[in-house]
Amino acid sequence: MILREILLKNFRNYENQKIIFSDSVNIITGNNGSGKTNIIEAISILSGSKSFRNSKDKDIIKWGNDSYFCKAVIEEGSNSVFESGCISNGQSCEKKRKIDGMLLSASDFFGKILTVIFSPEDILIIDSSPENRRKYFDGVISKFDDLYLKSLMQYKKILKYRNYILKSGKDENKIKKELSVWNDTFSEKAVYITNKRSEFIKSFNNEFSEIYDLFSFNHNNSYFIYKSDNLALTKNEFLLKIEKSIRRDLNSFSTSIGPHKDDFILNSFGDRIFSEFASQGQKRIASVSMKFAEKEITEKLRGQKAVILVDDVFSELDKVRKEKFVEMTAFTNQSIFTIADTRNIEFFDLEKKIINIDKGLVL
Amino acid sequence: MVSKYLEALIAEFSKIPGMGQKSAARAAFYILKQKDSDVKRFASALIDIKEKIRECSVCGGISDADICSICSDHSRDSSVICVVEDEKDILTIEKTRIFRGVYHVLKGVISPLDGIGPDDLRINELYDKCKTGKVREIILATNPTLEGDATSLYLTHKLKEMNIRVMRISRGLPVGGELDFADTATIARSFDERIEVF
Ligand SMILES: Nc1ncnc2c1ncn2[C@@H]1O[C@H](COP(=O)(O)OP(=O)(O)OP(=O)(O)O)[C@@H](O)[C@H]1O
Ligand SMILES: [Mg+2]
Ligand SMILES: [Zn+2]
Repeated sequence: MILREILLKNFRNYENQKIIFSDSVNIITGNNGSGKTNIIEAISILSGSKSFRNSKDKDIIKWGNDSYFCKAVIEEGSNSVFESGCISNGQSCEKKRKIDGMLLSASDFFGKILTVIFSPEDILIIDSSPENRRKYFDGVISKFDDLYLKSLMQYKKILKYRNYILKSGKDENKIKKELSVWNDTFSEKAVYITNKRSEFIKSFNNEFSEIYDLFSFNHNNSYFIYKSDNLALTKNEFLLKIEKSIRRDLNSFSTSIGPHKDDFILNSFGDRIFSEFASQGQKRIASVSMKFAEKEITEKLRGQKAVILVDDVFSELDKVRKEKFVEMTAFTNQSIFTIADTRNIEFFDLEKKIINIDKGLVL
Repeated sequence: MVSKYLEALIAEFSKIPGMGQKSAARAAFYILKQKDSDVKRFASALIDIKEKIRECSVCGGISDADICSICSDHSRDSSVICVVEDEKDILTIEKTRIFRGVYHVLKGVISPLDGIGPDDLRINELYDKCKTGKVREIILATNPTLEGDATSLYLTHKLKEMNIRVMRISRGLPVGGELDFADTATIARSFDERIEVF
């Protein structure tokens, strides 16, 4: 798909700005703090995720205002208009999302604009908590599997209910009875999510290992291991397990088993845990490779081309990898790069649109 | 402020669900222009629904007498009970004229964040009816939300233990939608397509 244009109103340091993109390479340049990343952030919000910087909506509203609005025109066969906006009353934000004028729920809006975002924070997927990895992989699966997204949201809701009941301070028999209402549905969703993840990680590894070798100019034998205590369980087996863990749950006031405890661990050279030996540069290359694997899988399963968004990552790569990166994106997809150091533009030896930004204005 | 009486009535009207300030003002001016006798009739209708309407001691729905007109209608099949979340669901289903059994109102749905568990609903009353041995079939018509489904599933397990045929309607209803918003034809269809649970 092609992102034709976006409109930003009171979005970060933009007051009212339309930006038109070319259908091949777009390079957003400008000094530090001029507003390059803000544009990528707006596109990430329009593609239905939270801000890829994990910012709160109220921090995105231009200072001194009480709402923001952004809009994208997408071409995929015909044109569609995507809108996302948010009004704040000081404490909370009310968010609205529309496609072609139709008001949609967060889950119906999610991922309809297919993007792959490369950002400096990607390294955290490998380097930080299991929660970040679950969030990442759940997001990728949800891009091509609506039912997964729906089940995941229901699972999280029931998890919240379970934990709320466990913390309620009611007497034990009452708690047990109230939990029993949810155990069945909880097990069904848990098993579904576990199976989907485990199936997904196999095809992800196929892509990832190959791309990582290509990018590192080495044979690494690298792949993610899906770590879950509930692999290959049937719903009834899981149900039994959760009923048995009741004592532990009561003592800890929280749910001790389920896919919310899972992890995805990157191994290299057979059985070495990547994050325990890899250099910063190796982690960067691995995280870039993850994003390429994501691109391959989501494009294949959606039958659509992703819009490639690259925030800063490019400047962190060495010369050969910069060339490789351009080769793997610029010729096949519409891409939008943010580049602070204009010397990097020389790597784009092809037709490109340069968008120059200064203090929230396109020059 | 032009009139504190007018202001007071607008304030009351605007508490009604779905009624904003504008429509509340319009309604208040409408009342102001009516004949005395019409307004008196309107006022007594308001007082009557509060003073005269009671809860049916059998189904929990609204009633003018101790037992409602549905529960006391002998042409209806009291061995088939349709379980609904609240009183107004009965009106919605009655409009379809397709269901000839009786109702049981749960008075809500299991909702942990609101502190509502099975013990806070009219579930024991339902078991009591089933224990009489006169109930052949239960049709669960809770809304197809996560909470409505969980409530139905919970009831299904218990009722199956009592050897009662349990059916669920929801398929014809829009996902995440509520009975209240479904049109009459959709509800009628979902009664036709009710499926046996398990
Ligand atoms: N809510 C807001 N209202 C107004 N301005 C904001 C708001 N949030 C951030 N800004 C401004 O936006 C600018 C940051 O924009 P952005 O992160 O896009 O910069 P950048 O061009 O990507 O910079 P760098 O090259 O350092 O990555 C800063 O000048 C900041 O003060
Ligand atoms: Mg930036
Ligand atoms: Zn009755």
